[in-house]
Amino acid sequence: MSICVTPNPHNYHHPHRVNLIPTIALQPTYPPNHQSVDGTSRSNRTSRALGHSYYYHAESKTSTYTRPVDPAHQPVPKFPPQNFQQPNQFNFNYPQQYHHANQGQFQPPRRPRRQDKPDRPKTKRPIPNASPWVFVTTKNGNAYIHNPETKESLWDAPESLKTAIESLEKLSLDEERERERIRRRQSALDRQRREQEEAIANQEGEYEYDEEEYYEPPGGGEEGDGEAVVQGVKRQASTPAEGEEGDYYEDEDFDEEHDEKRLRMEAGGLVEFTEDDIAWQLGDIAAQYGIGEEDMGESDDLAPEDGVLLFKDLLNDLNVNPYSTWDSELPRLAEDGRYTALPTTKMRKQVFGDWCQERIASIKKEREREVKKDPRVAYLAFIEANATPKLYWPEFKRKFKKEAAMKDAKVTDKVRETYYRDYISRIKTSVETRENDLKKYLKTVKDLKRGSSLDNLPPSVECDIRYVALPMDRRESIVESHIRSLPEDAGEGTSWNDALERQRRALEDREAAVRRERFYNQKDIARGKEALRETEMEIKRAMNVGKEGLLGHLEPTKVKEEEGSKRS
Amino acid sequence: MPPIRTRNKRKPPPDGFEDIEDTLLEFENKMKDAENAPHDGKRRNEVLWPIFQISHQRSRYIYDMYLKEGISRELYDWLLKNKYADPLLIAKWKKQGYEKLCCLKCIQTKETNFGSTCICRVPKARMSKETVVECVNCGCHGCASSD
Repeated sequence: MSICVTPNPHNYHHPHRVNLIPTIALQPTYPPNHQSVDGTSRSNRTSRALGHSYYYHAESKTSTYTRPVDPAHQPVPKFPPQNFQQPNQFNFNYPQQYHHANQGQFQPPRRPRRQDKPDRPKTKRPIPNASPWVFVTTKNGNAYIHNPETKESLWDAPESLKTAIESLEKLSLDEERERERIRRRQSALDRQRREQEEAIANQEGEYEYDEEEYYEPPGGGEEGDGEAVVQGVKRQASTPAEGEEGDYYEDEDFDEEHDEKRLRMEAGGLVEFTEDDIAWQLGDIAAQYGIGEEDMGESDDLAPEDGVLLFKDLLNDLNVNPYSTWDSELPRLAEDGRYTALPTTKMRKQVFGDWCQERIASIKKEREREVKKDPRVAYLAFIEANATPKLYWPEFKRKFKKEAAMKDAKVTDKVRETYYRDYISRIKTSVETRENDLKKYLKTVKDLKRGSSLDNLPPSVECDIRYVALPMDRRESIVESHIRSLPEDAGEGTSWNDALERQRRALEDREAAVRRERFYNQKDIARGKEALRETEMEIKRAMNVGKEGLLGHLEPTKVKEEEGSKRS
Repeated sequence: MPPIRTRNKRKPPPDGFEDIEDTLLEFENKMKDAENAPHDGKRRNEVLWPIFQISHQRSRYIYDMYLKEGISRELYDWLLKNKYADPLLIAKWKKQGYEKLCCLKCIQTKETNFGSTCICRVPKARMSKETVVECVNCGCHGCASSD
């Protein structure tokens, strides 16, 4: 049985220190905490107070820092694991791992639940010119080759495949460069979009990162080479036992779909990244931001009038408040597909403004038609529901200051206060006295008529404290009986007859008025004509000049004066 | 001592105020946020830009509402009297060439060395395409009528 002990995971990856410590001094008396490395071997990986872990074989009583490998279970006997320390370039596709491996020395203690998670294959790439073989990279950044036909996997490739693998590396280097180039171009295009794209591309990478942070690899004894750590490359040539290897291939099929998705997501790592891809990606981003294709300079075949109608339709459907601003409504509008019915935001704004104007006009018309209710009615209803003699007005006011009825600016505070005080004082009296009060009051009211109903009482009644102070059923019965007791008016009868009568009377009045008006007009005209005739006569007389000249006009007055003096 | 007018005691606003009340409240909250926003790392002028911007937006909203007949003349006057909008700025908007004016500071020629207006008043067509304008007074990116 093999046991793996890791008391201090910080030092777990320190090959230098491991080699410096004398073995015998570290011989443990009893392993405090142990885990099986693999099911069959008899090595223990134990530790001492110094915190270094090593392997201890219970039967042969030997200890070693390097991970012991049972020759019977070693899957790759042909190629010694030391070879893996050199070809670090296998990892160049995963730059985030360089970064991570550097960080590894300062990592916080790892979570124990993740400790025994085995290494898993992550990506699989076919090796060109060596058809059955595939190049597999594991989550820990290790690489091996695998033949799916014979189910054979090797840590180190045979000589015949090495050239093919090198060409694969070269290919991926080119891809890397290509990706860099595209990224630079995109950054020139739009910085924000590039960020978005990188977020997508890195999403998978971040996921990997997290995995590794808490991941304790099962094997790591062979990285005795300090260079590997210096270069920041994490390459543990862990040698899975046969039992685990079976799992590997089951998992590989399972992971295949995931791998393909990852290939697509990474967009450039392994798949050729073409102009079409960029266009598709930009389109995708545009769709996310609610920018139509039209915004990017492409025309739409929709007629402009239809676009306007569609956009107005959208505004109607979303119940947009015509009294709000474009900026506040924009987020809601942009989500809808019809937002792109108009090509430019300028046009959209204009249509929005027009629509608001129309809507406001229609709302105004509706309001004119509506019957206006007294603002006090709502407050009185509120009082009825909430007022108690226990609360003084200031207390009541403070308690309900957030209520809409208490904030309504149409009713002043003074009015509110008087109503409240009245109401409370009335509530304290008996119901009978209040009933009598109401009956007395109703007799003085002149607005009430035989035809009026309880639903639309005149505001003078509805807002009177004597009416409000009674409970609902009592006051309604009283008002109803009062209305029934009212004498029948002249306008008694059905409302239709009433209306007809009113109409007839109005017509008669109007006719009389018109007749009078006409009479006055005629009189005016006659008077005017008379005046005109008189002036004409005068002028004629004036024009009638005889031989005596102007004296003829003067003489008669003289004669008259003489006659007058004689008389006096 | 003049009487203290609180919100509850003041004369009720004219009809139609309820319609625009929510939007005005939004502007008020925005303004409060802008006033209390941290200013570390900002230039001295930069701190005032959001204030100018919100004030401009609110004046524009009220003026637009008045033009669209969303609010009555009575209410419009009341709003101006109660300082919901800047009447002097609105007065400028009525003049030809000043339809989009950002703030009054930007046309104050006496404050400049050469008796000129702010850079944001220069039409885009007169400048090279690469020039990015951000005026010092209010952070305006250009408010010429022809833009």
